[in-house]
Amino acid sequence: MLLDAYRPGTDGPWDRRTASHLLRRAGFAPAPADVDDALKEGLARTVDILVSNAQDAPRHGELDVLGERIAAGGGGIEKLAGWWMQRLLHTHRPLHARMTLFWHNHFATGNQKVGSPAMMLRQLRTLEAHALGRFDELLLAVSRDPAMIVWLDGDSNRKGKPNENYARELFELFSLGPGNYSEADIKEAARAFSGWHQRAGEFCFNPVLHDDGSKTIFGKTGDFDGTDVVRMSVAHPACATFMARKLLREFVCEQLDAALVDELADCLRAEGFHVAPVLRRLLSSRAFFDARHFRARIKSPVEFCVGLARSLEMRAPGQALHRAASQMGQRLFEPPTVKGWEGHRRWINSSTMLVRINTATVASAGRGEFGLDADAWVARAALENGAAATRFAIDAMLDGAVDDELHAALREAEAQPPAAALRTAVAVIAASPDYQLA
Amino acid sequence: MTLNRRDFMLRSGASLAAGLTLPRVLVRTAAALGQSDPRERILVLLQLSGGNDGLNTVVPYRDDAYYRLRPTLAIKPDTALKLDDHVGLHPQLDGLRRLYDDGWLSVVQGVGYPNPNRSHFESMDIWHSADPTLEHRETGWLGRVLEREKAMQALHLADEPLPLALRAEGVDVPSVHTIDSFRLNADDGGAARRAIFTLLDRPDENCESHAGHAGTPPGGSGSEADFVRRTAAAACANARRLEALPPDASGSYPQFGLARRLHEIARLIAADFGPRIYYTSLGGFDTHARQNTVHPNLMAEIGQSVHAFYADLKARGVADRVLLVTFSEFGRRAAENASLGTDHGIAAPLFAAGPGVRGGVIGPSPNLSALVDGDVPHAIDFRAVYAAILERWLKVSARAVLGAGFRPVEIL
Repeated sequence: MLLDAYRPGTDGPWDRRTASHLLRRAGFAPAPADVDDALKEGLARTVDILVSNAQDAPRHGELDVLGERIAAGGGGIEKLAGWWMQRLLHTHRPLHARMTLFWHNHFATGNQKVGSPAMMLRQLRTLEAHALGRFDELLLAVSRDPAMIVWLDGDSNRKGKPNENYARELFELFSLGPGNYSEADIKEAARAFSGWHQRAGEFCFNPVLHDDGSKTIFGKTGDFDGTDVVRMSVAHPACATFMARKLLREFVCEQLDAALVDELADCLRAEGFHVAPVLRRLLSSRAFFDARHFRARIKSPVEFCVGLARSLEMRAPGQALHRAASQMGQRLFEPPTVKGWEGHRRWINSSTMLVRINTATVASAGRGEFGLDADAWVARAALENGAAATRFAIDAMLDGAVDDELHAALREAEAQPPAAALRTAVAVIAASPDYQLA
Repeated sequence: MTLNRRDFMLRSGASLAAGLTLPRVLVRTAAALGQSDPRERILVLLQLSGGNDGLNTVVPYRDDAYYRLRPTLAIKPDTALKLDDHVGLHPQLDGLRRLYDDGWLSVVQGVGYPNPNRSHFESMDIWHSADPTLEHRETGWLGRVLEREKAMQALHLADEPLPLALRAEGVDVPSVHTIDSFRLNADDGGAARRAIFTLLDRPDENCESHAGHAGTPPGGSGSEADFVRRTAAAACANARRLEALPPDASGSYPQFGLARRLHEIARLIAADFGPRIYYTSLGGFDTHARQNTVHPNLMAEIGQSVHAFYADLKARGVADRVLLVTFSEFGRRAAENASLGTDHGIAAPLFAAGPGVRGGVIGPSPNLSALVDGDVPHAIDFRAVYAAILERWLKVSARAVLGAGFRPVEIL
């Protein structure tokens, strides 16, 4: 079975490369000390910590309050997005943070239409609360989420005048995928959600505008409401397969192996759609550690920026970090459409690649808001010369693995004094094709 | 759309499987060289974002109903720049009026689509995808042109992200804020820049003949690593070509953002840079309140910038190769609102400019005495304008791109 546990020593090593693969995929590019910890703890315990760690950094407490303050104080969405980036940067629960991002993309909602940072924050809190929890509970919470209601026109869904927008996306994008329901199912499901409105940013059920007549959905007839439709969607055989595909695209690769999809879908059903145990299984599996998947998935702009800042402990104010990610094509709270960001190869084109290259050079030069403190690293890691500084960057950013081409390009760095060498090496590595991959 | 959609899915599926989602480079590929013609025609699309007020752009100065509906905002009959016995241009559109007098401006009235959508977001997607049902908003109409015409290049020159209009599977259109900003900027004394160019700038990786090399991870030349490598090479090549563009102070342009962008486009056209499609935009048209403090300035920006653009192109001897077309996601309501502004409407006029157009006013002038739900209904489907651009200018099959047949509007 592809989801059988990967046994270090028998199936392959548990070394810097494998540990770093796990930490990158289940979070962001790790700092060297994080890899040391993972090697010490071993695979099973590392996955355990990723999946179940409920404690976050002390800094996080202060940051949490700040979000509410930004939203309440009428701060713009850019401020809130910067705050989120800051939290991603400082989190001690990288998998939880990644799953929150995953759900933001899955239930892609844009402030452009919602027009309320407070409502966007509230939705983010909902996604966080259920990030590793049960999918059926999350789906219901999102169906009642005020930002989602505005985003997909829930307020205009009333008895006798159904608005199909939410029902359609619930089936197509949130739970089943195209081809698993009929247009009639959508029409009937829209009636079930009629009267699910929001008022002043709070969910509000309006019984007068709710159609409580009989509906037929997926061949079953009854006086269904939105809660029933959510339950029926998750119980639909296509749901587990649909969600297995999405999780595999996020954590493993874009081109999926049908057998692996089936195994993970079975796992989802067996676990009652509880995400934590499913991810524990996936992240410990032989399929996950298959050598073909190492450095074979394109990082999102947020992964690129947060990872770069985390792995080298860069100075990185949230808004500056978010501006960089935005230029690369990912503005948090502003997905391009309800389908979210398509990801993978769609992240990279010649313009966004140039932005990545320029972000690498500007951040490594350390003169901007978001940047490397090369002098501090030279002192802290006792980097005596250019060669040592270059080696340090290769270890920190590429787990020590460097191909001939990159090595040739890095000769330019090695010849310089240590701080300058570190700056050049970080720029070149961050701009390299390998570094764009997780 | 159905046929075209299926067609598209089949082809994109095939190219994805083969790993041939190639980045576009702003150089003529070997395949294109054979067919390239320095006299080939160029399209410049100018998006007016926010919903331009059509009735104050092309003014029905003879219609009493217009003055009743807009007691404070109407353009006075004596100031409208009269085009014929029914309509005249906004007084700040003098630049366009001069193009009109030379027969270089075609004014198409009442352009829209059935069942109009008043959301900026949705209506813009409709214009971009050329699909009023919004069922297929994955690809844009120009993206589909580029997907079919592998040798054709496009460039997006604006501050916004790449618009849907230019997107399609396997199509990578460079998006540039300014020519100056599309460059590799390493300011560490050049070491990082040299090293990055050494690593990434590989002209041989720009085309399909790339055969892989040492260090390619498992997965071969269709792998993600290889895709990134090729795209990075394209980014470097584009940056290098743009950096090499000679400085050029010719042309006399007003101090407007749009003028600066059109000036850059003129330079690229004159340098025979490659793109056949240039896309730029101007925002600020969502004039819900105090419209008269904003809209005249926007009209001046368009009129003066487009006029300067054609004067410059003419001086460079390339004007006859260039067609410029404007559009906005919708017009505005016929009646002004209580905030001295106008709300989201439906159909509106658009402009096509250049020596190649049939100068004149096309389509019926708005009849403000026969409003439907407060708006003048559309008379011409925007896809009929696209059909004219596709069939008669870019010489590609409009049916294949639009998914249905539309009789081209007689702008060309």
